[in-house]
Amino acid sequence: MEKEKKVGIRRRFNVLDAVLILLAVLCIVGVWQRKNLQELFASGETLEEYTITFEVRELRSTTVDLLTKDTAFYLVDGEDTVALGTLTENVSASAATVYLQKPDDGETVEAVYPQDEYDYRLDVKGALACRGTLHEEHFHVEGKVHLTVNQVIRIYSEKVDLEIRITGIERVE
Amino acid sequence: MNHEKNDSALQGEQTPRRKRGFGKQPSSDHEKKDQSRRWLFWTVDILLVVAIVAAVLVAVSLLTPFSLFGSGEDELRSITYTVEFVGVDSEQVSQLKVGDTVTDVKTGSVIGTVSAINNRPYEVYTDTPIPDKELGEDVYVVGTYTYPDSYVTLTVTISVTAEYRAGLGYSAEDCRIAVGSEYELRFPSYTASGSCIGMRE
Repeated sequence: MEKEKKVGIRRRFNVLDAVLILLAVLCIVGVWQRKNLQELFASGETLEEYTITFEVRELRSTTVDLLTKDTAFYLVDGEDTVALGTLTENVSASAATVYLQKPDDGETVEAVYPQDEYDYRLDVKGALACRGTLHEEHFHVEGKVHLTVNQVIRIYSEKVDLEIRITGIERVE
Repeated sequence: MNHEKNDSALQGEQTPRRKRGFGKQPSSDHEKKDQSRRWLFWTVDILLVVAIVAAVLVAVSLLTPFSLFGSGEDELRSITYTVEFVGVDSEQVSQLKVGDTVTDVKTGSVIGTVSAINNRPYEVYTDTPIPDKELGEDVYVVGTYTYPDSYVTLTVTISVTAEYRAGLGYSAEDCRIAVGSEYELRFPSYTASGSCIGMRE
């Protein structure tokens, strides 16, 4: 009787139980790697490394101070937040200028914005390291948002909201 | 002891025989084995439940915008930020006071308390280039015009305990706080539109 009970118990732990335990382990791994799985399902294409160069004109110096290397930016596409990339280095800045006409002779000259303790305007250029796909000359950052040269987009970091004009999109070799 | 035994045997009493194999001592081993098997089944059952729950969570996370794991926890941080209002009627500046509660008109969120108020003459850029000999020959600066004292540029510093989320930044209730953002702010007895020009933790 006891022997039969023993055999019976041995039979209950079988291949099906092993499969179920394996499924449990796979689910735990799936939860742990859910982000990568989401990207895989979403894009279906391999994301490649790109550099997006941009410029901003007449930016206040206090804002420029927040544009440092490795600052991460994102953009908003509808209800989605899409990672745009990180600054490859501190942005380069120069005194902001504008073309104006002299009142006496009408000559067009380049004039610098005056700098005082309150307001200090700068023209800024920078580059963002990002990932995207290129399909029939359409670049999609993170495989999601279509971006083009000369496009003006609003981007966000933890501390800054900024409008940039894209001046170049290059694939990193 | 042996004598006692013999005595009872002589008296016709039968002492229970010790069982061999599955006797009392072996029987507790059997019970222990049974118990360990029971734990094994419990473990399998628990793993089954975990597997089903995890499968449901993964499916919900992957197939819907709703993430049951949360996109990160908010951390509370004290920050001060400065908003600049330009072209403010100087007679209305007294409507603002340190300690005033600040509300964002768009979201209705309370986004801090005024901690400092400063003002300076309201100056605008013109379309006229002005030669600046100090900077060099043929160097021009953009001309400026300073409005009469009736108009000022106001900078208001606001303190708030904001929710911080890594990668996304700061928000007070539903209002994002960031340098470069434009706001329409309501104070107890004043409303104005301006932009955030600085932030500090």
